[in-house]
Amino acid sequence: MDILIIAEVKDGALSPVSTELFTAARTISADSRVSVVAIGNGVKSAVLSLANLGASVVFLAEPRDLTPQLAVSFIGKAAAESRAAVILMAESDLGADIAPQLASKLGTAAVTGVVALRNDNGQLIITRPVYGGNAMADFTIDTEPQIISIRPKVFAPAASGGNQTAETIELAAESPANIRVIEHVAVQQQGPRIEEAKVVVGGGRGLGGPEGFTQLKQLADLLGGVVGASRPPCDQGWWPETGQIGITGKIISPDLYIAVGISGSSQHVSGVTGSKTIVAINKDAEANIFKAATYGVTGDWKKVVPALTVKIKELTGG
Amino acid sequence: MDIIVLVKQIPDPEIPPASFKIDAATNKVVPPAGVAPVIDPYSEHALEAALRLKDANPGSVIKVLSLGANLNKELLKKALALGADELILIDDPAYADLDAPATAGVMASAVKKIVKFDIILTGRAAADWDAGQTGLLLAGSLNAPAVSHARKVEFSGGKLRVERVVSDGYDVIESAIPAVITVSSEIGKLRLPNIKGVLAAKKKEPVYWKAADLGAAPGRKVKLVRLYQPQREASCELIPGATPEEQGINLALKLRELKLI
Repeated sequence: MDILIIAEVKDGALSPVSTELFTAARTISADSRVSVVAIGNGVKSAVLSLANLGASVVFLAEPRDLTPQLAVSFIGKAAAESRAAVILMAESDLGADIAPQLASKLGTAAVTGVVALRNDNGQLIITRPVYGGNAMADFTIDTEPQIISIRPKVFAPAASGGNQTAETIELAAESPANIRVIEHVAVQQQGPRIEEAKVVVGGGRGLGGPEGFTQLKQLADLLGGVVGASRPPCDQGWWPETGQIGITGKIISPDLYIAVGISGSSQHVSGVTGSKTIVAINKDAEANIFKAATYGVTGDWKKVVPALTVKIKELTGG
Repeated sequence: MDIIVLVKQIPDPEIPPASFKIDAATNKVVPPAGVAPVIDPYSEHALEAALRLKDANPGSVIKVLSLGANLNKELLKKALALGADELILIDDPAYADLDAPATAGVMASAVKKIVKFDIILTGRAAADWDAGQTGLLLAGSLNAPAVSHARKVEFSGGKLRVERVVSDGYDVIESAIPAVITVSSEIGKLRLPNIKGVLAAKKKEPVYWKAADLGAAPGRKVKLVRLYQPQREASCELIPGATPEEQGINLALKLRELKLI
């Protein structure tokens, strides 16, 4: 089963999730021939590391302005040339956009937001959460190439195999005239991005209002972490939508996740299960979040969190 | 402008996890008794985007398309109450349980039957299957440019200007028409209907299309092998303490013991 990986490159560096796709490829088949489309800017600098990860052919795609339509055009060419049976990409801004468009162009189908893959006697079983995380679905794709976009952090980054070489092929594609990116506006964020933070403190409906987030911010700052929220505080405007944790928001996998006043809807829990340790603070002992948590405090967060914060300050000298 | 909005009817996604059941024999969700279906929340954002375009471009016509089997007419007429001009219900048992490529295929046939469109708006995903594919596949079928995750859609000088949400901010994208735009929650909530709108919608009937009008749905390319509920083990260690303050202190000590702080 030959595999084509879409590796996103920014300023010559591979995106972290791209290395995870090699682990996914090995899960599908240990001895597949792996080709890669390196797409972005500075792609040539990434060839060596892609070869060391196991790529035998690297297609280079370095457009001036990357639109999904242009990416689909590049990848379509590489797909035809590599004749891969499976195309793997990350469920990133780009991947989520191009998986269906590529499927349409190649007359095949895609499964997006995948969290597990299994090779069942040559049949690829593709798993993703559905119904807001209330259910999981196993799919197969009957047409080739099978297009799969994988959620970040589902697979561990692949280890480099050391000093391999890869054939490189430069791709050309024409910019579509009917669409263009005029500008990219980066919204300033304080501290690390929530998806990458080692510590996340999340607030829920149980906080009762926006004021509670000030206390969570103090706790998060003390731990070098960031604050997020479940859906209700975002809907109420207590916390920005960009900080929403859950399957319809950000998927997080920190070392420590402290969920405060969060009851634990399926859609929220599905977004935090990658966390190494989950601590739930909630006065409702029956709250669903305790099913996902490693440690729990059943009590009023208004009393628990200040005591916790003071004690951490004392222990860490912060 | 000629605007088409794709609106999906789904089981209510806000039901408590305990009420969510699956029939393992048929791989289908068992709707809880007494819980009515709702308009998919992302579809509501798409409808709001359409209404804003109509506000800014008087004389625009909004046609709302919904696809499924046993669609709830009264529920979907909300679109008419809010200012949509026509509601087309593509309702046929033959269109139950389609996969995303087949859904996009039927929608493409419907759009071709409508003939004229400048923009198609749909949710960035639907809150049931959450695949985020239909709009983008439809764009492919219609050979139209697509922009996903829109938080703002404007039309001026014959072109669309769309702000697309990305992980570190947003992209500003200019697109020719006709185009397909998938709309994200950042655009804002759907407005509420007024009495005049509700009364007008009461008098209006949806248009029904059947498979005979559009042709059979393409076969499935994606097969659902198994639908199941994830098992979560309850092995939560509760932090002891006579008072909440003591629990907080003990939690800090536990985190220190685990070398997490």
